[in-house]
Amino acid sequence: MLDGGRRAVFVRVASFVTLLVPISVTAQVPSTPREMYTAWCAGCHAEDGTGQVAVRTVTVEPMDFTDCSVTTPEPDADWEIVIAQGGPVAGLSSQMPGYGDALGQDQIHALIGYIRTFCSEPSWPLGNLNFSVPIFTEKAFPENEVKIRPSVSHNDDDLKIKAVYERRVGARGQVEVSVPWQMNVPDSVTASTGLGDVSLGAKYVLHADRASTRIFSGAVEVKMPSGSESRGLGGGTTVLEPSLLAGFALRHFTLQTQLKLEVPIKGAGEATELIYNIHAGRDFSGLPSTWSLGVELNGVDDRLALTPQLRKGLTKTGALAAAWGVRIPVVNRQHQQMQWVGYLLWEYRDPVRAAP
Amino acid sequence: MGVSRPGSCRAVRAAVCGVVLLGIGAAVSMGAQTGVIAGRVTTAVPGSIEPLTVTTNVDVCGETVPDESVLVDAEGGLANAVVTVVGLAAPTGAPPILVSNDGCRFQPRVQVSRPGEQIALTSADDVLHTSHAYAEDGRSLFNVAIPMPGLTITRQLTARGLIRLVCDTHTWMRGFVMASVDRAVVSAADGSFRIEDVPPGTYELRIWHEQLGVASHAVTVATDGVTEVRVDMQPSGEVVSSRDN
Repeated sequence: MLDGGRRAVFVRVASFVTLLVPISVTAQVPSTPREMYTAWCAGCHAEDGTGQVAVRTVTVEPMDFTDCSVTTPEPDADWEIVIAQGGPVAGLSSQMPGYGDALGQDQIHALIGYIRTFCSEPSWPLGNLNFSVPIFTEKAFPENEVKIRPSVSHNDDDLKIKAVYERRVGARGQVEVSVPWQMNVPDSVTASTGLGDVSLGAKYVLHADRASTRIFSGAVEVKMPSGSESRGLGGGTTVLEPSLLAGFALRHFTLQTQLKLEVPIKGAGEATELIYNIHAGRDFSGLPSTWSLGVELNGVDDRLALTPQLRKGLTKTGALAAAWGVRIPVVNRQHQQMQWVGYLLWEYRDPVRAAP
Repeated sequence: MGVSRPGSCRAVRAAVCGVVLLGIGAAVSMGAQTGVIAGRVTTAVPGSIEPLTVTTNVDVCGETVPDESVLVDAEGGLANAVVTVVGLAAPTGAPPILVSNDGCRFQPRVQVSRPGEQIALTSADDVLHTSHAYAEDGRSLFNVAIPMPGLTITRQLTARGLIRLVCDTHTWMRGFVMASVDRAVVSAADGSFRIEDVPPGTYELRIWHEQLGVASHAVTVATDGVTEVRVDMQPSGEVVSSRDN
């Protein structure tokens, strides 16, 4: 019999001898994406990707990869980090293990590509085109989210808060409702506060390439005169707002653009306005909770402003995010004011709290 | 240049030799100032007999695997009990312990280590294993996939106390690591254990077993001697008899 101390030493020495002696590998290591998925993923996620297996060994419900609304919206970087480091890194279950010590990046990429094929409808744009939301520029990618966007004018303390509800419809569509509330302080003695002009809108992805380098969408909003014109809360007329949206994945950056017309339906004195926003940004990692840095060029006719901004995912799951920025007039400054702007965003289909 | 001659220990040399001899004597004396705790953990609880039914990967794991949750030899010796000397510091800087997924079982099933030390995880099976570690409070510490045999992955033990290992693809697999700042050993197949270099004094021995719970037992260690202990464990850690020899 070995005593406790010697036994421990023996076990450790034996362990290291074991480490040094290669174990004979007679089995064929899976090499194709399908073989890898079958060997390493199908035990929990099922051969057909549905997550329905004959004998479930985990206590959580695995994702259904055949549901395109699950398989497509997130970028490859999110999938890669979860496969490499395990579920908890993105707030998912700890029963999803990390494969990063066992598999190379090529193998992980191949697995992601294979998992994406479980969505049998190619019309769903891939999440690689789902860029971080700028403060002003509308995204081309459709989303399920609620956004609260406050803005405060630097000089006269006007406060505007816009609440936007967006919901995906089918593979490429999205509808939204936008409700503004504002507090005007015209002369610092009187103040008018209330509902602004409510908008209804729809968006549709016109083109998204499978290489995930560019996406183009068309959108239209109808702004209704629900705000009091006399109190300075609304425009007093219905406004039609068609826009074209685009997103481009560049080498390490993303570029998002919006070109919008605001066309008053009634009111002879009202002029059509051209609005153009361009956002260039960069995420610092593939994590949903990453920091992002960006700058926007915001134009309304001949008024131009720059909006440097920071964005941060507030939860591991990425369900909550916030952005802060400052809109600085650069052309026609006398007709604009500096504004503190930002948003709080909730992707309501994603869990806010991380899985245990 | 002088050549020292054996036996020519004069004046200064005599002083140097004296100091050296004194040092050697002190070292010998200090070595003798520790004792040994040797003993055996026993139980009247019958060992596990019925094998566990394999529910997945029968081609690799077989139809059944042995139930190793209570291993008792013919004389009642209880294996895989962790005996900890409370208050006696465990050495630091030990090499990583190794846990192998072998035959769809964690082997060794029970080990001791220290918080902050490394654990190496490997597999001998041609099937996906995961090594998922949980702390005592239920926190997940890590979960690594070992999809092929021969791969060794190292992680740090970031929790103190009992760390439970499970495989999320083979639900019957269980492993345990006692991450203790105190000296601890695992009882052998016959229930025996031995802890050396214990300074004299009275200690609490804490005995843990995955099925029988935790028991404690006071032991007094004398200088230069072996203190023998026998602990008989019952379910929920009850100690029905224990004695020092």
